[in-house]
Amino acid sequence: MKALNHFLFPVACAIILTGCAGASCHLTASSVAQPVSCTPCVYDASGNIVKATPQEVVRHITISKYNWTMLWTAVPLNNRNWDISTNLNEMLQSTPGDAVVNVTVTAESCDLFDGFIADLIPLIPSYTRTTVQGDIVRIPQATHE
Amino acid sequence: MADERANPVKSAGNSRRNSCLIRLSTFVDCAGNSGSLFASQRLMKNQRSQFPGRFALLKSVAAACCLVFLCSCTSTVYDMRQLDQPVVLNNNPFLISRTAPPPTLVRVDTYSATASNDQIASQDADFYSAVNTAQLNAFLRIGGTPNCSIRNVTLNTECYWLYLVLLFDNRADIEATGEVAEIKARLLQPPLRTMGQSLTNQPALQPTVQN
Repeated sequence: MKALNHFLFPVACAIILTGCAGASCHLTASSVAQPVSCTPCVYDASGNIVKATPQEVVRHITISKYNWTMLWTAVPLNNRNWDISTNLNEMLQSTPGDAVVNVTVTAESCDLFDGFIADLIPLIPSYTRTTVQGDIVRIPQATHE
Repeated sequence: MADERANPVKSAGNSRRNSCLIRLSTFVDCAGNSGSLFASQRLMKNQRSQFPGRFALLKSVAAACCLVFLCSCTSTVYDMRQLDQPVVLNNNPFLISRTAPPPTLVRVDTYSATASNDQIASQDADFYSAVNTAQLNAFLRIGGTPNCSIRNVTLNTECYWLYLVLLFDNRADIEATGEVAEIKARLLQPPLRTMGQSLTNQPALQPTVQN
């Protein structure tokens, strides 16, 4: 019994005095036919760089996803792999464009309150938010045909 | 003293009144006001009514600060918009054309970089135009070579709260991996040159259909 107490006491101290919370996300966009560029530039059909201008933007897109975990991030509550191809293909169908440019990805942690509580009480889930923003552009056909 | 001797009851009343006055004067002096009792009472009332007002304002400001602090969160942006070459999340950096096939891309190197909330090299008023190491790495890989691009970029975002004996740390990282690809144009037709043919008749470099 004493040996058990000697073992349990440090474990209990470690659980009370340390902790972590958060989540991760694996983002891909592999199956989009049109270029999905993080810069304003893409190649035309001849291999020349074409820089999209703000006048060529037809739609600004924003996609967000929350990822939840609990028990010190050991138990993911949703799929951490996120393929945005489906979302982008749907958007490109509804707003026809030649490419998606200026793609930025923002990783945002949960607020301090939730982080603090989830650190101390690991049964409470914590979250992170991943946001993808970009511009669908329609580049004049003369430049790339 | 002669009065006290003559009328002890009256003298007792006078002494009680004097002691009351002394207490009152002490009270008035403590209040810092040399005016009448009513004036000092009015002043006390005013002070009492002002202090809770100021305290309530302080409380509401403190509560607002706490709320802002508790709702604050850390974020990191993977932003490559200052680069003038394609960095694509998919396999295809070429605009789709019905007439000309896209050129061939050949993998020449790998790309990996991390954007972190504490690795921002410079930042201006626009939050999204922060220069980070991911951008610098990409520039070091493909900067200055227009036929090079980065494709198949995958992003791993990680946000963590760490707690160690009353010490809190909040991290937000984005790790990017991809491959550096170079455009390889090959001759569609072999350069057949017959006698007497000028050099200007050579076939031009044409893109291939390979993927």
